[in-house]
Amino acid sequence: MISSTSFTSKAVFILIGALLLLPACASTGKPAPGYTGEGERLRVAVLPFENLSGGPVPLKTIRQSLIERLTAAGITILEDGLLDRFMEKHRMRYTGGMDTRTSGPFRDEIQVDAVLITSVELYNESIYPKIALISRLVSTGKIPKIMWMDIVGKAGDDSPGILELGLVESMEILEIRALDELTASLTRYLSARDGDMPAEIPAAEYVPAPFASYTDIPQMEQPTKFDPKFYYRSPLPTERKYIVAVVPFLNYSERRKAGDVLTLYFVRQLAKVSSVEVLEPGLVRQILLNRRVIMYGGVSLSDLDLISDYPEVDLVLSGKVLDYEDYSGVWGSPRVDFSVELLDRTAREIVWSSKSFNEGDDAVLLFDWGKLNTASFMTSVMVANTVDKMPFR
Amino acid sequence: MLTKKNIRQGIFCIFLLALAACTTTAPSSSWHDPIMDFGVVETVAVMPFENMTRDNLAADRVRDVFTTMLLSSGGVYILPTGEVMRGINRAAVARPVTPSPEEVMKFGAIVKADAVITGTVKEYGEVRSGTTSANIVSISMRMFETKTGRIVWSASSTQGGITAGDRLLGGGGQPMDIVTVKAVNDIIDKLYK
Repeated sequence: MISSTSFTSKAVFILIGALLLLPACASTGKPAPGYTGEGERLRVAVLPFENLSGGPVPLKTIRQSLIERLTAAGITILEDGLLDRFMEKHRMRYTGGMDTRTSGPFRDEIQVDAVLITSVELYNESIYPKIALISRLVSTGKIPKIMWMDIVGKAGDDSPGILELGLVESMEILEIRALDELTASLTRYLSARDGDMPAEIPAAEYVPAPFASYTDIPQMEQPTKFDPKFYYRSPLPTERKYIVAVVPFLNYSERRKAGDVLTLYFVRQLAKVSSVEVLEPGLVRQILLNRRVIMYGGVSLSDLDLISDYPEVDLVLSGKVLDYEDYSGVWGSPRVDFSVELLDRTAREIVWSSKSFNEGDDAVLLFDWGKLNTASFMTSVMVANTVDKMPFR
Repeated sequence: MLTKKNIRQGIFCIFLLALAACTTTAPSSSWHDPIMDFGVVETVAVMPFENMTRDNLAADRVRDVFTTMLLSSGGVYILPTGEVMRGINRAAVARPVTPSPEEVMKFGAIVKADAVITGTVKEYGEVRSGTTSANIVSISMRMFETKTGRIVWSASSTQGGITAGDRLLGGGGQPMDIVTVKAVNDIIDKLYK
């Protein structure tokens, strides 16, 4: 009896012990966003923000808020002290892009897997504030490549709702919403990648972030109003993949840096196209500087040779911005006017040329329904409709 | 023997003839060189336009619309604007808005263009008459053959302005972009006629 009892209690003891050990063997399922394939966290450096708004912006505060959100989402962020020392060592002053001069040392010296580059496109603290942020994650290593890119544009009067209860008059609230949206988009992308972080990411594997701002605005019912007004399209074989360099747009508008803004919109939209691999804008800037390319009024055929001399560039996209206007206060409507040229390196010809111009109330029939309140959002729609008709689609 | 009926018929005929004298012969706003074979023109360079308006960007705006519309018409190939600027610099064209025949020939040889188009924006903006206002665009263009430097086509167009409807009902006319597109479309129609 004693021996039998002893055996039973021993068995129960082992069973309990095994049960207690079991959770240790359990897998956590999907890795938290920001984990690499080897179980190590993705190390991201958040570069100081670039100001494309043409006005004063509290860049450091917004950057700090974004870092807090990204850290809370489980992404490992490089310490500011380390980043500052690295930037000082490499005399890195331009933070609007990543070139080969710095992308290699980022990986080799401080083991950063990717760099988050953010530009503040619009920051208007009027009665109904407006904010627009453009952010992209670029892989480090030998050649920097765009992994993820998203744009968030918000205005206080985007959704007035019944009795104007939906109006936002505080910039802080709008800023929080914009940063939350951006963080959610990046986290979604990193989760979708299963944490795998290859050194070279082909564009085909690019997981497009959902266009968050598209979801709650009804003007997408009439997208044709934001189509290019007229365009020329020369056929291109669609079965192959094209490497596209987007050179900075010429800015004829009164808004400072509107050319750089349009460039980023096209980069973001082209990065979504599976048959296109778009060059990181920092890399294009490096090519233009190294080759001393000065564009008078656009890309000439000799410029085309110099730019596409970089291995494998097939198409060069350039353009002009004639209007890029936001309004401040209660009344008004944004206005955007741009033209685009896409040049084929092999044929040395224009394969796409288009002209787009719109105002924020173009799709409005009654009571401001469908009105677009920021040039940022309207440009997103116009650029999306332009890229959608390009010959590689 | 003149009857009353014959007299009436005679007066009626004279009246009809007199009516014809009242007609106006509006001068044609387009001219094509009769000896020019426009079929050989495949590549065209559009030079920067001359701006005679108060809007500093008017010439760039109209040129931008014209270049894209002409290219999208499919009739000719338009050189990239950057290539045109390169050609202007290399050919040392003193005034690209009004090039001389020699400059046109030199420029054409550099950029390999069959023809060069120059333009002038004469009016671009709002016109007022009393309390009524509307947008107006007035442009003129010329085409030079690069082999000889001769003008082979010339046309002008004016669109927009204050209509009777604007005077009666108000409204301010059509947006500037729409008026510009109409004027450019009219000019391109005249080129292909």
